[in-house]
Amino acid sequence: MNEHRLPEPYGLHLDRTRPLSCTFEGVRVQGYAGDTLMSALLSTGQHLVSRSFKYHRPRGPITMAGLDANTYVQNGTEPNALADRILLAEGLVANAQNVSGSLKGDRDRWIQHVSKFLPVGFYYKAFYKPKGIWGFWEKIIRAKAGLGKVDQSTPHSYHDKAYLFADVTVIGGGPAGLSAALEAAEAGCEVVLVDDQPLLGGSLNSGRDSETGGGDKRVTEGERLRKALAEQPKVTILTDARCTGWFSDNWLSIVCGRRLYKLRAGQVVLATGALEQPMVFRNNDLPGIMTGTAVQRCLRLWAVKPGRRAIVATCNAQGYAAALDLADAGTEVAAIVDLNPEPYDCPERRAAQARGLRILPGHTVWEARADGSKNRLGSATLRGLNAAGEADGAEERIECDVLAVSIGFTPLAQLLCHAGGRLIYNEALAGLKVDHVPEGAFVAGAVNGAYDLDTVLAEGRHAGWAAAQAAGFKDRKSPGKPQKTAERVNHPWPIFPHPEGKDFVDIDEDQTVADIHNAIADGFEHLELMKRYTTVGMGPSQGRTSALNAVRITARANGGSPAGYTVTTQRPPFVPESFGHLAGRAFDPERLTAMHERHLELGAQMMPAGLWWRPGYYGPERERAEAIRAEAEAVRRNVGLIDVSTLGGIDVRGPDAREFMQRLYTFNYLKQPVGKSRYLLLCEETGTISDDGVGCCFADDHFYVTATTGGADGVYRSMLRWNAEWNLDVDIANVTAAYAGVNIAGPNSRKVLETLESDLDFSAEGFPYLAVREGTLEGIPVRAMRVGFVGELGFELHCPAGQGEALWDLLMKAGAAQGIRPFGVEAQRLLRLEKGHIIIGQDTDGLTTPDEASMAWAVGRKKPFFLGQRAILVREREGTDRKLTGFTLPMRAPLPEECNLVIRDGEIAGRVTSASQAVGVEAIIGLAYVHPKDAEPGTTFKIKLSNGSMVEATAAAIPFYDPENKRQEL
Amino acid sequence: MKIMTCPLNGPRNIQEFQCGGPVKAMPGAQDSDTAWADYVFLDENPRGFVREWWCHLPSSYWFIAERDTATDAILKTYPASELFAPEKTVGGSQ
Amino acid sequence: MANSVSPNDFKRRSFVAKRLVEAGARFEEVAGAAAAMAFSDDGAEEKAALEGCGLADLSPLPRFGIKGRGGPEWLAGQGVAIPETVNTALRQEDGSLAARLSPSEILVLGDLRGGERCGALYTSWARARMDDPSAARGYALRRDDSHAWFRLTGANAPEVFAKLCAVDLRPHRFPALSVAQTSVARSSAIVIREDLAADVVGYHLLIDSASARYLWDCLIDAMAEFDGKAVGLRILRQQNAG
Repeated sequence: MNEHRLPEPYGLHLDRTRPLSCTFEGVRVQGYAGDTLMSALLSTGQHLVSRSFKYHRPRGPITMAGLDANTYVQNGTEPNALADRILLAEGLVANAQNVSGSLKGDRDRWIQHVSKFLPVGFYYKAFYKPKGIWGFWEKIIRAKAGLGKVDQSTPHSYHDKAYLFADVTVIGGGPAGLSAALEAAEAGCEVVLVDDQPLLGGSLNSGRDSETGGGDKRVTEGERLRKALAEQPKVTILTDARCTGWFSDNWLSIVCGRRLYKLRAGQVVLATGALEQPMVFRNNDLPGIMTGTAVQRCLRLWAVKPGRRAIVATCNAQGYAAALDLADAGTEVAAIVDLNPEPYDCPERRAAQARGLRILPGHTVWEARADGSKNRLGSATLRGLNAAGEADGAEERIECDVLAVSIGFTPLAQLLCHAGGRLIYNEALAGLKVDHVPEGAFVAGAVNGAYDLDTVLAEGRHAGWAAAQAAGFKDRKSPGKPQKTAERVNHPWPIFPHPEGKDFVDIDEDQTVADIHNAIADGFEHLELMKRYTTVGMGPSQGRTSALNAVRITARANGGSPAGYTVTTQRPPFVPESFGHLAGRAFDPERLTAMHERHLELGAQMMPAGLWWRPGYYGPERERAEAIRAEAEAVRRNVGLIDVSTLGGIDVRGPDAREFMQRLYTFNYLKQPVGKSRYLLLCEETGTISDDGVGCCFADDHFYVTATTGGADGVYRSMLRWNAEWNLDVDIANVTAAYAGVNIAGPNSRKVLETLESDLDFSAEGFPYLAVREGTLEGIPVRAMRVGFVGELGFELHCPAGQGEALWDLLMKAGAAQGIRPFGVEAQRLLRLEKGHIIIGQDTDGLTTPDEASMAWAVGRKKPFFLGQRAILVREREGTDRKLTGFTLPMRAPLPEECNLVIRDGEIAGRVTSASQAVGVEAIIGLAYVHPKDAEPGTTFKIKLSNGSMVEATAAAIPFYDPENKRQEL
Repeated sequence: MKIMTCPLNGPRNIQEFQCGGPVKAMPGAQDSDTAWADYVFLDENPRGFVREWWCHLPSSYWFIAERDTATDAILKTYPASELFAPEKTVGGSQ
Repeated sequence: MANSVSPNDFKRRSFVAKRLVEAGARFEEVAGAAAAMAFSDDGAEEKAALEGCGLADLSPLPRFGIKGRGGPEWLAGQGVAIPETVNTALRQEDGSLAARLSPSEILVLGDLRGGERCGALYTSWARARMDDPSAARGYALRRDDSHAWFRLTGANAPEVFAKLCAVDLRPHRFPALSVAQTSVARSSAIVIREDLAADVVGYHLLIDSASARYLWDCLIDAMAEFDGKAVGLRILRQQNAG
């Protein structure tokens, strides 16, 4: 066994029967199952694991709890993985980040020596002049500063999401959390317990018991609670899981493995504990300097001796406990530096004294120095403190390779703050205290300021009971509220600014005491402003190890006390979430028509239309233009078939159906004959066109209404919304998905239909233009309507969706002799443009009135009311500065694109909404918004093309093709 | 994520709902253009109590919700029929 | 077992027919369409899946909907037992199921044999409307076509739902014959719990027919970690009878 590894019973997490090896920075590292990468490195005596963000200073672990950013490494393809969380696995390959050359001899470590030329705000001040110069500096700075690198060749991995539910959720599996979970479970609640470590227990696993001296009582209690919880059938335990956010109505995000859980909790008990804080002195970031609790975790969880010779700096029982633990493990404790002038009185201090450990009351660490390798703590200079707490006393330098710091804690209440809780600096406690707990939340244990084990356990039980009560499980008797609660463990000013700096407040961001002072001198005296100016608290650990000291320094620099200061706003995520978790298994619904497979078999290029997929055209992409043209020509000269299933379909049925139509749409429907269809134009109350379609009157009390593909759901909802107010006697049913539909169009369409067995008479007399009929086609029930969207003889046939594919097959087969050709959305757009039919949303925008779109004909003037009526009238009266007009260009002119601007007297007058080379006429045709004076057919106006050149277009009457509409009425 | 209680379907994630804007009384045909412009274009957007239309999307069910915009609390939800008694009238058609 | 029929032999086709064919389904005619009866000769594998996690396509089976003033009353007059509470369902004597979606809307799911009931309801509603258009009897809805119909069964089905749906559908929170109109994999859906047998939890899932393939794929993906499989109508019928 190597000198850094301790024998059993040290190493609660380790399975010593399973040795493992991994590679860090190209060097093989041995460890055991249960080790983290960091504990395995420590077991080789190596603390150095990273280089700092800005100055490339050597860094080692501080918390050993995955809560500081010093342990960020590149784990295979995963950047920014925490070495004290990565479980060792055979063959794992990890590397240091932000290093040029090697971790041990980083070539960029010179940067720290010019740090005095890199004051706070340096980038803002130095690199913005002359204008544009930032682009030059940015590349250099980004290469030198930063964290992990994204490996763009990373293979995709499967991440997913799941919902979880609980009456009570407990976050944190330490003594408070375990007893809260057990109490709530015993009250009958469904409980989810979330802990970020692989083994439940928290400080029960790593702490020292103040009475027995070892960890015995804690270990026993941990075992008892784990066993009791395991026997509870309604408890779900998530270990190695991180709660990253606490949102409205107790909605929690939890990252566990490759899954993101979204947990809805009735009540939440927060038992996340507290995090020990660094002390501020010169070179307080050297590898080997860590918190007292981190030292204890090293010893008890992973059986790692963090060093040979230690100094402990403290002001509380925790520090003395860490010193005793070090001594027990065989580390020489050279000195215990107690910041209190009178040493802190507690059983641990008395035990230390009895063991003859050297205690220096009223002293501090003034400066740390590196050893010969420059990468590890080598010695510490101590100084006596004066009555004002300033380090101006006698100096003593002591060699050591580990420095344990226990000068106070900060509650890990970030999640509570997400939910509306508040942390406020409490002078009596000399630290941050949970000040407000929102409804549905409970706090227990160290996060609530309790450190004594019995108090923590009692708080946990009480919080679990109270949460169960609030969740409606009221039968259980209260376990009693603990008398003692918060105790003072913090030193009010563990900050010893050094004239030569490197006294880091924010270790993530390499920010020192002077940086905060400079920010305040620059006028950023408010905590939120100071944070943004200096970036203190903005690094990956989000202020967990810096906020407390930053509050103290800021308050003092502002000439006041930190009392009443709150921390800067806490936002999710509490710890980083990977993109995989956020992006993994996203749901993107898509809708397919009944004929979808047929389109694919015919080689269609599918295009999205809202959630739907529709055939754009049939044929290879390289033949796009030819395919569209050929499809359009087939409709003009012969017969084509298009899938129109995506059109919205709404049945409006009931005695008030006509009245409902009358109020909703702009036209007149009271006298629309049964068996006929009529154009529908829907406006918003603002008078803006919002949708269009066709209303088929199948009976006095039955209208079958179509809506645009993208507008159907909105129109349906709008109908329901208005009728919830009007209470007309109608039923409104969205039958969009219930009906598949095709449009068979072209001069030969009738011929094709007439070959089929049907009770419908498709002749010109039997089925005139705009007629609608219900019948069957070869046994398939259809709603048939003669429509003219593409401007040829055509029938739209809507049938039950389950038979849509059969209908398509039937028509394709029946039309084969005629040479029927399927056509897609692109050809349809061209054909309708030739007829001057607008597409809502393409030829209209969020302001278009019927008047502007030249659709005043579709507005019923004498109706008492319809949606948008008054606004239409007012807007008409006020006039408009644009009109939608048809235009033409010669066939060989350049083709304008949609949204090319119409220019009049050097000003923008409008834009092109549709443009295409026509098939039915010899010209380029289009629709555009122009100045009303330019809308008169024959007037010319200018279009600015995408390449900047101008082309002259001529306003034209629509329809461009078959202006007398003879062909559709054949 | 907030929970809203649908009068038809019970408590659901707010994701299942869409807000349809404030409940407003539509002016009549006799009312001025100004009154109509106010109705169509201007919403109060108050800090505090609002009464709004909400739709539970999976069931397409419209109802009324009363909220406090200052605290983001949903105070009450109830069927639209409690506000709009079944009758065949509408502001503009009178 | 040879395939006696294929989906294309019929005018009515399931919305996921292609997926069923790809999964090796054997079809039989049920109610004028090809229903996936089984995915293997040996029923054992399917039985295991059914009890762990099985997904069946019931889309070919008839169903019926009615909505609007007087609809539930008319349906009651046709001998359908109507659930009193909204968002609950009632089993009918012939094995069909009536679910109440709102005070004025009922959905009827036909039995596993593909019985006549739903078809008969549609015919008699249409005839009644022809005879007396003015009476209040609600309005029939084409539920055969507006919605695809899946059945998700087995001990892991609640966990599969927990990957797709934010409503707590676990058996102890969502009692038998409860109905939830909610969002499943971001698509609107109706979920009805009706257990397949005393010890086999089961859900009906009705979703927009155009989204059927999307949701089928989502379900198959979510089921994978539980070794879930597509199962046929045959095994469902056996379980239901037993």
